[in-house]
Amino acid sequence: MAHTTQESRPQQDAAVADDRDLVTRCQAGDREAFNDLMRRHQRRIFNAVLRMLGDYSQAEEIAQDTFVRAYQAIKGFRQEAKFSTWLYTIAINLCRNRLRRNACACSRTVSLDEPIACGDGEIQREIPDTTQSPDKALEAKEQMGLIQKAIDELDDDFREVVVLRDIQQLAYDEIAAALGIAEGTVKSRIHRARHVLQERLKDVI
Amino acid sequence: MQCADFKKLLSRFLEHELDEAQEKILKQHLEGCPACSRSLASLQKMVNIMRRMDNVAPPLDLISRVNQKLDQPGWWEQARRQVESWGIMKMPYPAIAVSVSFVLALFLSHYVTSISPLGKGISATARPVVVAKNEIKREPVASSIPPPVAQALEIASPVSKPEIDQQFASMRVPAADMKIVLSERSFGQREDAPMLLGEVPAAPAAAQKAPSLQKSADRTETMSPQPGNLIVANRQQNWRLTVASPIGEAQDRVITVLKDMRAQKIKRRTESAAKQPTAIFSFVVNYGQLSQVIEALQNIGPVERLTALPIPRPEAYMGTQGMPNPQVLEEQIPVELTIVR
Repeated sequence: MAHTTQESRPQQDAAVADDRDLVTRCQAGDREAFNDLMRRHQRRIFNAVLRMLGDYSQAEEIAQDTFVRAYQAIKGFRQEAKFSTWLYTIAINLCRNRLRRNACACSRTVSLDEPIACGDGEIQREIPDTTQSPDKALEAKEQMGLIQKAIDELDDDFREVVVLRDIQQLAYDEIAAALGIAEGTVKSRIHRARHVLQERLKDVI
Repeated sequence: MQCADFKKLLSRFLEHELDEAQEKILKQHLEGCPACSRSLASLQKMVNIMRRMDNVAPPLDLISRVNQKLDQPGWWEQARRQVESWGIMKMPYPAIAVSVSFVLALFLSHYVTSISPLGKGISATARPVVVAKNEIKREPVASSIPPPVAQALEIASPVSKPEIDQQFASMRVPAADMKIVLSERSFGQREDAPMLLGEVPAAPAAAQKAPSLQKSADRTETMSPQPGNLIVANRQQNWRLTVASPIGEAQDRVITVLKDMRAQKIKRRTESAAKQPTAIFSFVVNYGQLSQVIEALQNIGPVERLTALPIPRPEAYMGTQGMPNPQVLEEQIPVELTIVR
């Protein structure tokens, strides 16, 4: 029942090697290599940021800034960590800043002028799930919405590990590297965060 | 061990992080405890759902937007080009040093002596108008601001941000004065564009003194002046504007106006503040558009309350009073509009 990451180990190693090659080319000034890197990582970074912030339009902005910052700093990236880990670090820092800025702001809102709805309406559309009946799909969508709400209410430290571990399915060592904390701390945070989430969602799941 | 203790182990059990002895005890307990078994099942279900929560498609134009942003010259590059256009780069180094020192000294002296806590650009007697990009002229406005407020807006020159904050705090327009000012502002007078009138007092003490002042949980302060009055607080910083109006049915018109004004990120949320259903619009406009937006809002109907909350934005202090930074004018600012049914 343990977590498995989305890709197998050889696939991951190949992906990391490709990333290293692209980063090297990018450091030599190859802009197209950076576009390739963005294509490879945009979905995961966007989803991480979306789940961290719980707001589609802000996630768009922060995901964009993450890549801009990455490009601006890529010459100083020594590839000691994986490129994806480095990207997560940038994204998380930007999310933290944004959440701090949002701290005194209002509650969640619904966009009126953007065709893309925020929240879990998107998820419903994006997940092709032919095995589920419409009722079950609706139930899953509702549950995702409730889980997102519960994630939004978590402390920042807990939210980060839940997003990276349970949603992004990163390994403990990657999360530790991205957050700059010990692996043991990641583990203890994830268990406590899940316990909190479960308590808050006990009536619905 | 009680059930509560076992439940704390469930997440570690899922991750196979328990030692053999712990796992054995937990498994034995789960066999005889339906509640803990259900708890394990629900935890597993929750984790499974979360694993499917990373499938939202990123915006289609994300990469092109990043490239667009990367292709824009940064502020340093813009400054460098400007300097190059002056021919300074062809000067000998001593001459450059002297020039830079002179410009720096000029800037500092101007910054120290003329910046106002109420900001640069919008003052009590004049408002900035964007004529063209990077070109600003000041258009005199017939002042209807009463002397106490006008005096209050004449702030002594601060020299640092803490001092600016301190002085600004001391120069806050009292709620009582604010009401007087408000009563002279009418939404019907379009030529008298609503500009700087003061800042809503934030201190709780001030709130107690003014019974008409309400303070809600999210620090939004609203005033209750006469219907048809307007107040726009100004600190040349990030704006958060709240308009309350008894025109609940006019929400569609608000959206239309905001779209006409090219406001972006228009969002609406509803809440019940003080048992009063309220619709709150938030949107983003360019700083330079703010006065036009306010003007447009006047046409919707009588607006009872319009308040603003300054959000600290240190870079807004850069520049000089009376000549707002064009970049600030073009900056997008968040605005919030509240409609009370």
